[in-house]
Amino acid sequence: MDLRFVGLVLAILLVAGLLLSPQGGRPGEGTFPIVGQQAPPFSLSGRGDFTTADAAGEPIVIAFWTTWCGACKRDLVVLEEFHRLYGSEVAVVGVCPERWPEVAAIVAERGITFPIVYDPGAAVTRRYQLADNLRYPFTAFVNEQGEVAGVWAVVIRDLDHLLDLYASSSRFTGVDVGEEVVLTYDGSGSKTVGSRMQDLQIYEQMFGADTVELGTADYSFKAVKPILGYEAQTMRDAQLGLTVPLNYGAMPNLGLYSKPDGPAPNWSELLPLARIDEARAAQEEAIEYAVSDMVQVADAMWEAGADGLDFDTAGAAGDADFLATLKAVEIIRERYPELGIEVGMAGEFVLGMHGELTYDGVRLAGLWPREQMRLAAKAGATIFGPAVTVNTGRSCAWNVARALTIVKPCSEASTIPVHMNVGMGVGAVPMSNYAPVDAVSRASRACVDILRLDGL
Amino acid sequence: MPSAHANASGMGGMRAAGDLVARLELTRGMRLAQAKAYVAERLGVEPASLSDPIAMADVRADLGLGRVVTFEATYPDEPNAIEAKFNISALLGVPINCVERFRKRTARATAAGSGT
Repeated sequence: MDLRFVGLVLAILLVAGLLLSPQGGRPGEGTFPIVGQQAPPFSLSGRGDFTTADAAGEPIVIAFWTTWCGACKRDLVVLEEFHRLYGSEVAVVGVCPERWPEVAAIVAERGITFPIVYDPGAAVTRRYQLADNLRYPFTAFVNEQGEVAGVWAVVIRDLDHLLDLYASSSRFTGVDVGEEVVLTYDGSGSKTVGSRMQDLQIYEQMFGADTVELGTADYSFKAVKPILGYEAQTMRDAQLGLTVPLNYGAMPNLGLYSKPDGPAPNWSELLPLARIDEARAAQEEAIEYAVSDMVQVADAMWEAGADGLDFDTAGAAGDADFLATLKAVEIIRERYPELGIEVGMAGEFVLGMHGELTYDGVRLAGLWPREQMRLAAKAGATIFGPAVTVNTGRSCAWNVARALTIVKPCSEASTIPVHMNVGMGVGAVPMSNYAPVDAVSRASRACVDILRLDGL
Repeated sequence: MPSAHANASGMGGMRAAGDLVARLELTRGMRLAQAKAYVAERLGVEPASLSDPIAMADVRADLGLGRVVTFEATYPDEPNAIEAKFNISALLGVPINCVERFRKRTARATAAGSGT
C-alpha cells in the first residue's frame, strides 16, 4: 500500500466505523462534550454553501481548520481525496473561522472541491469544540441520525507524517514556519558555562530560550532551603539583567524527607518488611515537611521577583510526592495569583508507593498524563509538563510512538498549556548527554506536529 | 540539546517574540494559539510573524521590548532587560513580578524626584 495514503485509509475506516456502526469508546469521548449529542445545526457560506438541514439523514464530516495551521492544510488534501471517493455517500465540509481572505489561494492550490465555509467569530466552531481555547485541527463526524458520533482531534495524516519523519535520511528536521512553540528550559542557571548569570544569558541570547530557569546544582526544594537567601538574591539580581521570563526550579523529591536525610521514617525500608501502615504514615508525615519547604521557597522567590516556579519531576517518589506538589501549588496559587506555576512530572505513571492518597477525590496512584494534568490545573498550575521515560532497549521510533500515544489524550483535554518534557531520556530523546541532533529534532517536531503542544 | 530544540521547534525567545508569548502562557495559562493571537494583536503583526527574527527585531526596537545584543550589533540607547520588561508589561497588559518589585523599591526615589 502506498504509505502516502495511509492517512486516507485511516480516515475512511474511522468514518465507516463511526458513522455506519456506532460503538462504545468513541473518539473524543470525554474530551469533547459534544460527542454523543445532536450536532448543532448551522448554515454557512463561503466557497460554496453548507446547511446541515440539507444533509439530514446523511453522514457528515465537518473539518474545522484555520489558514495559519500547516497541519490543517495537509488534512484538506486527504479530505478532498475522501470526498472524491465517497462524496455521494458522506457529506464533507470545511469550516474556517478566521483570515478568510487567505482561504481562496489555499483551497485553489490544493484543488479542494468540497464546500469550505466561513464561520465569523468562530460561533459554530465553539459550539462543536465547547472550549474557550480553540485547538485546530479537529474533525467532527455526524451520523445519519444527526448525532456527533466522534470528534477526532488529530491531524488525519499523523501516521503518514510520522513515517516520513523517521524514515527520512535528513540529519535535521523542524516544524513548519508558524508552528513554533514556546520552549522552557530547566537548570539553565546552574553554572554550566561561566557564572550563573552568564549561563542564563547564554540561554536567553544564544539559544533563543523563551523562558529560562534558575536552579541550584542540588536541584531539590529541601536542599534549597538552607541557601534560600543566596538563591533569592541571585534571582533578584538576575531579573535586572534579563528580558525573558525567569523561573525558579527545583524537585519536590519527597525521599529526602525520610531517614537518614530527613526526619520521617524511611518507607523504602518499611515496605519490603510489609510494614505498610507505618510506610504510609511516614509518607504522610514527609508530605507536610515538603509542602512547608516548597511554600517557603515560593515566598522567597516571589519577593525576589521570580516570574514563576517550576516543580520538576513531581511524582518522582510516587503518589505522596505528587500530592505534596499539588498541596504546595494550591497554597502558593492562593497567595500569589499572578505567579506562573509549572508542574512537570517525573514519569508517565504515578507510582502507588502509598496507594491510597487522593486529591480532590481522585486517587493519585495509577494516574496517567491526562488525569495528572487535570489535578495540576485544579491545584493552580498554569503549565503542565507530562513526561514519558525512554525505553533504552528500543528504537527512537518506538519511543516516540509510545510517548505520543500516552500524551495525546492530555494535550487534547488540557485547559492549560502543555509543555511536554523532551530531554535526556524523556519524550523519545535518547538517554545520552550528547543526544544526536537527528533524534532530538525528530522528537521535537513529532511532539509539536502530532500532539499540538503549547511548548516543550 | 537546547540548540537542537531551539532550531527544530522554538519560537526564538527575545530573538523574535517567544518570550512575550511565553509570558501569556505562564502568567495567564493561555494555550499557544490564544497566546500567539493575543500577542500578535498587541504588536500589530500576524501570528506567523511572531517567530520571525527579522520582522520582530524592528517591532521590538520600535516598542522598546529589548533586543539581543551582540558584539556587532549593540543598542545602548534602547530599553533592555528590566527596562524592556516595563514596556512589555505595559504593552501586554500583564503584570511582571520583578517590574512591580522595582517600582516598589524605587518608590521613594520616584516620589522625591530626580534628586537634582
